[in-house]
Amino acid sequence: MRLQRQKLYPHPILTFYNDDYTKGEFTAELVEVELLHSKLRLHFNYALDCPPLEVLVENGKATPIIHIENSQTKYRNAFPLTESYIDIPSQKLNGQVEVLPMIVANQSFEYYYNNYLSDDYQGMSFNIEEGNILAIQQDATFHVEKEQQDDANIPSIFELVKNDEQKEAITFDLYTSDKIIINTNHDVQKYYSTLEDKENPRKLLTSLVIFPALVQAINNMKSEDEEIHQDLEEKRWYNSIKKRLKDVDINPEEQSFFDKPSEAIAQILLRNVVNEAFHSLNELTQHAKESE
Amino acid sequence: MELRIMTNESILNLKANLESYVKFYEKEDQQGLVEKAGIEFQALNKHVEDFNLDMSDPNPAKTEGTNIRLLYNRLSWLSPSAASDERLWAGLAHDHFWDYMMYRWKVDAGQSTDKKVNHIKQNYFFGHGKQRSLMTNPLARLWWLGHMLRDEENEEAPYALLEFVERDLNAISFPLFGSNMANNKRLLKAFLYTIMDLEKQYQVQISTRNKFGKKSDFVRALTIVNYMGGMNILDAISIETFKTKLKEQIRPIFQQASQG
Repeated sequence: MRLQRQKLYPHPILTFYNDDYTKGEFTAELVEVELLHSKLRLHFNYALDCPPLEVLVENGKATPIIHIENSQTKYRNAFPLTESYIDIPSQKLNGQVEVLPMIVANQSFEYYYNNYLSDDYQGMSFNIEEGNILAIQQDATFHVEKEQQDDANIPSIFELVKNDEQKEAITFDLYTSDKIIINTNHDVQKYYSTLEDKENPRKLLTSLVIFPALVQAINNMKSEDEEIHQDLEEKRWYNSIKKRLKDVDINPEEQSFFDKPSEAIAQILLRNVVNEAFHSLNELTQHAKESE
Repeated sequence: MELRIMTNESILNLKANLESYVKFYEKEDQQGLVEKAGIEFQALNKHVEDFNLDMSDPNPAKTEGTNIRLLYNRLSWLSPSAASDERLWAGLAHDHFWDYMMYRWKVDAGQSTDKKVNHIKQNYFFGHGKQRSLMTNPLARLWWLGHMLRDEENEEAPYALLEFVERDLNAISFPLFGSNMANNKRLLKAFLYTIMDLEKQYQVQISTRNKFGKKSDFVRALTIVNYMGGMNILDAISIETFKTKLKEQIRPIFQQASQG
């Protein structure tokens, strides 16, 4: 379950994106996902600073919960946050896991206007029912890898697949697999496998094949289409690139990521491979001249 | 028997070159396909007593309920994480359950190559998104319906929920498992048992097929529970409260049905 900001509630909600409450704060930030023997331990940085809601929690009328959903394994559950962490059996999870912290009502009661609420609610009271959301925090996601892969190793998220029917030298497929598929025709595959072991041509190959695929992938990551995003978020390549972006201080959630040209980002991720490719090309031509 | 998964590389290679391999599926030539495509399998480190699926009915669709029980009873030890992996089901479809796949999801020789390729992609692999494929891949679907609908707490009739669903398997299971509510097994069980209780109380069988643009009774009940989930966090309320509220909301559907 993801946070839906556009949703309207018939009672005030303590959250960061509206002004139902003029004072007070609720945080339950996911700070670490720890892999223990057979379970995942999710650590939260929890704080509730809003006396009217604190009283409800103390009286047992409301509980902070962590809502977990993993659509790939059809798993969904709400965990009361009684400690600073929750445990989930790791075999129940695979792929993208959605984490949504909330405070929900445990029973029905009347909630009265108090001076933490906006003046708009002055003199009002609300019928709260069991299961109603009283506070909600920014959602988070994390990715469970069945086989741990070296995410820092960008090329591991690409897969060259020979397609005998294909006329074009290369085409890309971002949606079929967890990797970025580079479909190649027979000729390209043949040259690639003979050249890839050699140091100089390898950089040229990366520039010719991997670089444009990565540019296209980054362009898709920038898409504002909700459906495209949902499809991509399940993919291992998407999460690997996101992680690598953070390593090079580019935050994919920030506007600067969208403003920076995709080809510039791709060159940073591939450690200036295009430059290196030109050096290699130069060296290769020098060698050729010398041996003439 | 040995359970063998297909390697990622083989899956990618097969999917990318299906046009060239269609003929092997058409001719039901498993060995030829494995050799020509160089399919690689990896054995899972678990021995399972040999079993096969029911292929006795001239109408293969009728074997679905029996095969859910057969497959899930033998493979219930698989973790949800392992059972959501395309490599497992692609492996079994091209290996141990090849004959079953040929019986249940034969490639129709009269169709265009594009259609045949699509048919193979959707049935022998994960042809849709990861969540939807668990319900559309025929082997994964047998396991997941068993997993979601077997009720271990119901010792007398662990498959009581499946019995209800198999009354009209596709018309019930697709909308049901398209709803995120059903991912919470506690809610799923409460929802189906409440429907079964009300059917008994009003001595009716609610409709499961949409007709003339009108939603079936089952889909109407599902819409109501989805609506309830939009207002409340159903996962966080007690199951008694959920059942009471649900009963109150969906009772009119059964009253109407009992009046014809």
